Amino acid sequence: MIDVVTSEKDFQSVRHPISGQFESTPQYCEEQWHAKLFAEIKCSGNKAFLGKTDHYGPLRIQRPFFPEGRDCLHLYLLHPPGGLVGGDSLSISFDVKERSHCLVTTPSAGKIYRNIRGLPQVQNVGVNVHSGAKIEYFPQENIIYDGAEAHINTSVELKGDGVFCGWEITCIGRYESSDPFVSGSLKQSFQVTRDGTPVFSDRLILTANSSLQSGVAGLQGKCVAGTFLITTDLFPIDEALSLEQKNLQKKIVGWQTEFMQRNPDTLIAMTQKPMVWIVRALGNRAEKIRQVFEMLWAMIRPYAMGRPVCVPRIWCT
Amino acid sequence: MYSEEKSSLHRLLSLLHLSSSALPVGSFAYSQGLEYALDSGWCNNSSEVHDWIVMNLRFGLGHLDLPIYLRLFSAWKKKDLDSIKRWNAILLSFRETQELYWEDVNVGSAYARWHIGQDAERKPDVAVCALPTVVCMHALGAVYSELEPDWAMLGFIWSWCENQIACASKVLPMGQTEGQRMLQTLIPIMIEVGEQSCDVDDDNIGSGLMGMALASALHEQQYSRLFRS
Repeated sequence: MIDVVTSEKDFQSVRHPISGQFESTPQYCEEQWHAKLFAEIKCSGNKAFLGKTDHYGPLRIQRPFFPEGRDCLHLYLLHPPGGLVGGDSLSISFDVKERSHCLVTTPSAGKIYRNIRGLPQVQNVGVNVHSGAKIEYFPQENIIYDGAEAHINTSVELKGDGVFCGWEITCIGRYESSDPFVSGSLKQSFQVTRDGTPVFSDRLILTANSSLQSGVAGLQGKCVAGTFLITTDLFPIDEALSLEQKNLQKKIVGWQTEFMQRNPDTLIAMTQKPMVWIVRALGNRAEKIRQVFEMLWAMIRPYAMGRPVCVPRIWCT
Repeated sequence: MYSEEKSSLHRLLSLLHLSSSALPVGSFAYSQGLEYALDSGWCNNSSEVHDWIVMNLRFGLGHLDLPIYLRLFSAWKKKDLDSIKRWNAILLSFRETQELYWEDVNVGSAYARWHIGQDAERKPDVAVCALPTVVCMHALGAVYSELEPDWAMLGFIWSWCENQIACASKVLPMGQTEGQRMLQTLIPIMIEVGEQSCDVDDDNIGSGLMGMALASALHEQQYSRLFRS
């Protein structure tokens, strides 16, 4: 049932216009790369498996892992070129069928390079989660290079009691390489609907050097912004919390307060809206924000997903 | 006096009524993250408060509330119930935190009760959205008062600014005079923001105010608070 791309015959080596590295690109499209990937995750009995998959261009998924049993599929999403130049697009979609559970991650950061062609660099992620299904979506950060014209769009459609648990980490400029984001733009949208009704929407339209980038109500001049959300009532608003929920909340808030005291350049805040638990983080180093989200995930997963944490192997390398 | 002029004066006073800080909707109890910004030292003086308000005005109101205001206004005008419900739900989905969500629903529901108090025949309109937002209810009032949408939005902007300055005056040692002066200096920006909000397409709606969202979420944990958001 596994349909994983292994053939290299569609690809040839060319020098990437920005990175200067040799990378592969489909022969039939030298000017712009429009890579697409579709994957269906299914479940039969207690076994989760990869259903129909479809791909176009340099995007693929590696053979699935089952590090925590046959009922939860771990998938690694690969984009061998590693980055987008002007006119490139990535389109990723997952269809998570009834009662199946998968965890998706990426082995490396996404890069959106300086744009010299004038055409935008686009990444679209679409996730369909059917009733009783769960997806945990933990990509590494996207790095928006100075001069990029990035459009990043994530759209999650939930049906019934489907659950999405995932994060998005965006580096605006490269703090560690002293390459700040002083030109270009970023448009980033994140929407979640449940049975057609919007439950979470967020959109950042950032022009380099605008007050939104520097102002305290905006990005505060910081370079990394992250949002982590779980579409569940972890701490229901309109009912009394159980002792277990109260303890968990206390533990998280205590941990958050302590983390911010130790890391005064990083802000973390969480909030519970109806059916969406949201964490936002703002700092200067992607690694730190990822660490924050991983820690929170470890604390929350048993309650939110009903299973203990199982760190994807690739995070440890 | 010509009857035409009389009716435009009537509309002006209706606008003042709809936007009055004396309207019994309770917005004075909310600071939208400003209390945290003041308390945590993000805003230390009146110039930093001014910058905070301007950013929220430009990106929060200008890119989220007002573009949706315009859509709700025209939906009320056409009695397009599906659009009313849809845009009201979209606005709630954009509310960044629990506090901002409940503020909108609580103040919006108080607006709904005010509508019924004005005229019991508005009951079916008010019942269209189970969780009405302030924008939704303000736009309904504007349609009932036959206001032009650009004027109605200015009323909405004005009450928002007035409320933010009142919050700052309560938390920060910023005198009344200073607050009143700030309100005057904001007028040209209010007009600009109202105008620009007409150009925001559906897929460009959203504030991107990360700092404000963080302030609001951290306010939820703040130990001692004057305001409910």
